[in-house]
Amino acid sequence: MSIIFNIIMLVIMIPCVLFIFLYDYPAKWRDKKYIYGVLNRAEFKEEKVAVRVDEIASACRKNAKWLLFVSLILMVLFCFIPDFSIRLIVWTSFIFVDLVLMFVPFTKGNSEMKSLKRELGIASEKGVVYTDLKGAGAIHTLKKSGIIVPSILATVFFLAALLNDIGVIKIVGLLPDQNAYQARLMTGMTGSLLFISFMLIPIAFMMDGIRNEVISEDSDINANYNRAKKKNMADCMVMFTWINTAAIILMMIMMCIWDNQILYLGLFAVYMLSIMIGIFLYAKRQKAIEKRYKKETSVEIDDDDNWILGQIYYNPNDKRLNVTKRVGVGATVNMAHPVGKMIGVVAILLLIFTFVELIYVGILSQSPMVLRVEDGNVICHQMKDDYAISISDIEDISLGSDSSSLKLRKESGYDMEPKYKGKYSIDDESGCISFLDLDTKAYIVIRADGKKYYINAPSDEETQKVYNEVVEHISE
Amino acid sequence: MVIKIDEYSDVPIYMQIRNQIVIGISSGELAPGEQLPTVRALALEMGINTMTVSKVYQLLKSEGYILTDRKNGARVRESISKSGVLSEENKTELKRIVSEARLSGVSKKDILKLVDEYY
Repeated sequence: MSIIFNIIMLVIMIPCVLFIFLYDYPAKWRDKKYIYGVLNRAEFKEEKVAVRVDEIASACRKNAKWLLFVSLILMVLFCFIPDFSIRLIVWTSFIFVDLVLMFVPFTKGNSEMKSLKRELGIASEKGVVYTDLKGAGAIHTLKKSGIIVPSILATVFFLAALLNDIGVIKIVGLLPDQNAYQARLMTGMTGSLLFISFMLIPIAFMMDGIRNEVISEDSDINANYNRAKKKNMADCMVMFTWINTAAIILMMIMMCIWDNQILYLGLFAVYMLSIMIGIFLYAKRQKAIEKRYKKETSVEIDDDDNWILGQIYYNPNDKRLNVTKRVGVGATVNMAHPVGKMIGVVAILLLIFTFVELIYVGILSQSPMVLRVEDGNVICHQMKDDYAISISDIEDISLGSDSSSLKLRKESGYDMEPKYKGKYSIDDESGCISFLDLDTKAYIVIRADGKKYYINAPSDEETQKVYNEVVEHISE
Repeated sequence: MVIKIDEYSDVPIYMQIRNQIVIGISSGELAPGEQLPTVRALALEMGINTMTVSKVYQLLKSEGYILTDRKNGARVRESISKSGVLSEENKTELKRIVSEARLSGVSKKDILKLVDEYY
């Protein structure tokens, strides 16, 4: 499980940082449309100015190269963090921090290029918009069926998993002893992937309806350029939807044949890899389109001042919500648009929430799981009283000696190796309450209030002591 | 046909669009009977309010350059009525341009050359 987790993180992060480096820090700036988010123009190619641009570009690329190198080393080192919960927290924090850090040289480059522009007396054409009347609202390449059909197929498989989970149907060919946990897992996995498919539908339509760029006085060139770009994006969206659907189907088939979480995670790694390859192919085609139409570009719109740090589009005079990204691939939102502002606030809140959650989980994973007997109750405490089992309600109690032999599967709750807290399927019995630290061998099994509890304290001795106290109370 | 609008210009946006469409019709870039984008599509494309585009189309329709109907949307008129006279407004504008050109030292010949080019 631990190795698979490392593989998944590496499969996600290595292509991401490589992609950012190769795409945003090109070795040759002369043939690029933008230099660090600033429109490339003839003035930059003049002898003396070109030397300055060379200096800026090579300094930023050098810094980015260092960041890339350090990132790759750190990623490898993270794989060796022994504590799984710490590793998870470090990896998650690293994803956010590294993706921001990788853009730091870019923003520096953007600021220096804008300064250079000011020095050269080049004014941005802020507020100037070009529109090709012939292409307006007429260029669409997304075939509705291309994205709807795989989503419907995915929905059918999800519904089958859901109906199987709630017991309405039974999928033939399931493992002979498939338990509720397995069925729930199948619903959860297929549901999550289906959610992604559903998210892709509005994004695909939004991308298809994005404003057409004007690159030439010739309407046919503009139309062909925008059609090619939109076709590439539409193909990419359709491909992602099919990858998602294929992942749902394969996941269900695998779950019907094997009961092995490592295999499921392996499939997830393959899924992520396929997405990364898809993004790579999209970027490659996009690059070819830009190259192809570069010669035919005669209209260049300089709205550099609307791009904060070369990446965030902020134009209060533009009523559009989505615009083509300057950096990277795809589209971004106009942060001056009311919806754009809302999206920005939600994104920041989500980021804050994620970090708060990470800190909480980090503290929780390092807090001991304590058991004590108090006022006729067995109290399970970790930072707060999680469970209070009334001794008078206990129907049965026993002491186990090897917690590591328990087959634990989370249904809901908290899972931070070696601590498992919440609702679990334990030894194929669904709905058990776990309050276990598997570093402690001994554990107590209590049946009370129609529930089965598996609990232990930070040491075998303490667990034994609590067990003895409870037994004593019961016998009294 | 490419339309350029400048949000910081003294000329209102609707008038900038109207003027360029008229130039497009006159130069033949917009052919008689050619379909124009819908109000919504053009507004989305330009990032402006639909009311502004609607105002442009209403103005062009009242001036007899385009036809609009619910079924076919807006299209350039097949035959634009030729009164053969320049409106008073345009005469005033032309007078201003010629005056400014004369003050700038532009010769009559050069102005006529430009008129020939644009006509």
